[in-house]
Amino acid sequence: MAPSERAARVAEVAAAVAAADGPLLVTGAGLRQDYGEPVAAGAAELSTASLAGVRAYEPAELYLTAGAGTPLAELQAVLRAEGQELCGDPAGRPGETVGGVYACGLSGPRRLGQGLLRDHVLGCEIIDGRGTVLAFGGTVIKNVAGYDVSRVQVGALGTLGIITELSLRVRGLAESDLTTMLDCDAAASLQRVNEALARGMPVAASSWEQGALRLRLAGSEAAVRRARHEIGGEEVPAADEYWEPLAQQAGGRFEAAQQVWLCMLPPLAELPFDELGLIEWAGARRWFFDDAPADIRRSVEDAGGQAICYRRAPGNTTPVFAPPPPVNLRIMTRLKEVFDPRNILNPGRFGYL
Amino acid sequence: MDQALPPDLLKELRAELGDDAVLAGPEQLAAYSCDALTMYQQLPLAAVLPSTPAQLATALRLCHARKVPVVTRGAGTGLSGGALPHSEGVLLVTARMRDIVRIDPLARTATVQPGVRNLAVSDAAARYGLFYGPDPSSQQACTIGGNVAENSGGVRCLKYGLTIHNVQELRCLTAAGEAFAVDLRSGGYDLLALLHGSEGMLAVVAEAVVGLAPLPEARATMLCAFDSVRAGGDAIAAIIAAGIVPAGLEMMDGTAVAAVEEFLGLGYPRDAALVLVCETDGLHEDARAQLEQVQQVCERFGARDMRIAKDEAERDLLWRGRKSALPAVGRLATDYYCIDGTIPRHRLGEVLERIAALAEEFRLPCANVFHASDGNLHPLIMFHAGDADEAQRARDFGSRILAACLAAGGTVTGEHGVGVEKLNEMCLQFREEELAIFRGVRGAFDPDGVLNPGKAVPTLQRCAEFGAMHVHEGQLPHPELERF
Repeated sequence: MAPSERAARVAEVAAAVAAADGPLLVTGAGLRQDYGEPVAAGAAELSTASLAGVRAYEPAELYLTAGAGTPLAELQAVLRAEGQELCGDPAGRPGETVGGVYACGLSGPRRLGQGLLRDHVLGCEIIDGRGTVLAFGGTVIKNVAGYDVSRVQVGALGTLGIITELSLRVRGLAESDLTTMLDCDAAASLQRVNEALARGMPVAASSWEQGALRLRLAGSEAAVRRARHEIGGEEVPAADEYWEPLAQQAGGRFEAAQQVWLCMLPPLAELPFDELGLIEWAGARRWFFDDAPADIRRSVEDAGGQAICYRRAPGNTTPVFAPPPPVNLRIMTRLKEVFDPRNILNPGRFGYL
Repeated sequence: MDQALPPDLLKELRAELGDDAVLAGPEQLAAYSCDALTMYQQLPLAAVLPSTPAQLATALRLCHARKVPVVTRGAGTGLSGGALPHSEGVLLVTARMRDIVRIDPLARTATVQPGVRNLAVSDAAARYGLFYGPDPSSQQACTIGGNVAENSGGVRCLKYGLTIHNVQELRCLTAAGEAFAVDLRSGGYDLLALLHGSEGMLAVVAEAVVGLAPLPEARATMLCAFDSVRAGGDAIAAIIAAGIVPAGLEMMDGTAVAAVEEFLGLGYPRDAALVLVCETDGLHEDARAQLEQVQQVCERFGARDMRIAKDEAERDLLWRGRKSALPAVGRLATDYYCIDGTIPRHRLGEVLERIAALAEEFRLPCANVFHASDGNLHPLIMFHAGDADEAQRARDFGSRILAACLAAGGTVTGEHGVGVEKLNEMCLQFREEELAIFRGVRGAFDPDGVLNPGKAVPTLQRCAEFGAMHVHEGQLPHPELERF
């Protein structure tokens, strides 16, 4: 896409925001509308799908700039051709756009070794709730000019601006990648993964469910070979078939369950019902399904964590997100007013905002 | 002096925090008139040194009730005047809050007070085989609270991340002294991200939980020289493009090398256009293999005088020159001005050429050191601060370098922050609509504008005045403003 055409398309979306006289439902591919609370009824859909394409990609500079409407899979293919990938293991299903994936802010299992999605956002272009096109950050990793507005867009569910373009950090693909599986209970799995990490083992991802701990080792061949030897376990053949659906929060219990809980926890916190769950990120993220206890949110909060009702069973009225403490909520409410004074961008998505 | 503060404030601060925690009067305050950017000086009306989070909150509450400006300061090692006191305000010094509250070796975290020194975290973690990743050059002295405020980087950040990548939790105080906590588990907007690099204008850190990394099993270090800046720049780009993630990749130009050699005589190649120091670390297997890859790349681009550290002593020697570059340059002139721009790595050659041309124009020598792994360039302008004309030329030279970094696709500050120093350059990097968002963000945290007012985000008026001096391609910025 020519720069002038891109600018014209962004201006078109911006004009639609400026002219809006009511709430807008911001979408990319429209595939994640089930995450979060429903947006105010009657909201007009505004899609960023037209803002597709890689505008800049410099492998040696380790960054890429792409339109929000670019399908994540397309970006990944462009990067793979150069032996690179996006950092932070963005969790996107086929067809999902990069804007949508970062607005949701969900990572896959390899977040363990690579950090959060927001860690690797270098810059963004957004349209605020007034219809103004704004640019923050840049394409370099060291940049402290201005408040870090780019990273705040990650996980904001499109309520702090419509992401039109993102500059993202990329990394080289690991030379070697294998998965080893060990039998242990949930509590032992937390110990084992964290011990391996403390010893500098190249653990790219971890998952424990139903008595099996899977450790994905990635790095140089020599390092992976050694970690495989030191950690032990059985090598898992065709491990991608396990990790790929998990990275998309798809397959297995994700498909079958009526209700799914996403819990963020201090990694070593133990929950009395851990055995029922799927534990990722060395314990920092745990998923629970239909057999989760009724008071799961309280238990997780008591353990210093946060439980999100990622998928709600029909008829259940549990809020998706628990409201933050009062001071945090006050700051967030004011931030929302700064970016979207008319409260038209995905209003109601968080429930409490 | 004291009469400018509300009359009862000092009395109440002393009653609540104790006499020794409250300093007033020019003699007591002299040491606090600036941070490490000494060209800006200002005495505060008082300095307050709380020892506990409760005292920190009390100090904030008392000042906020009277709308007295508060500037937070850690060790005062900042290089952009971010901790420059406010003439009508209180300087809140966190240096006494230096408890390492807890280290959890298995979770690999340290819970620390804001005045804990960066290096003290690594020192305390070492017995567990862990260390704290970000290593700004002031790490001996600078504090974790200050690191959060500036989102400090350092040499290792391509591999180990900036401060924002290593802080897992902050317990903060609002301008009014209300406690709030943000962590990686919090829902809603990512306030933890927003607080990093916010230069003490959004909240005050009362405690931080930082992540620790395992100490590398092995390190491998090399030094080599290039005969042209272009070749060195290309080698740097090729190292990164090869997928190598060095723990440090540092460059010095010929002027910096000459200064270091004169100072220490380490045997760095004096006639080189550019010297590169590279370190890889991790498991034994990786550290050595990666350095070999780096060597091969460098040889391809004509590197000479290659030295590989055989032992820890030689490793120290190879690093000492790079780490002494600033004091070495400091010996050549009475003062130097350290600039902090970031550029895409592959533009290094042309930006260095531009800086050389500017050095001629401003008639001031300039040495360059470069965090090559992340594109962060620190030109060191040598001048004599006692000479008003030279000092002005140094400032203007610095500003032009930052404009060149921006034009090359970079940014006007990589890791030192905007502070008072780069307010003008912020007007180049951002449009008024974006600056207005920054002002809004600040208002969302601190509606009264009590915390560190006047820093980091320029006013509309300031940009208009600066714009009047720098008319860009015939376009007058901010035509909406009346001009007098």
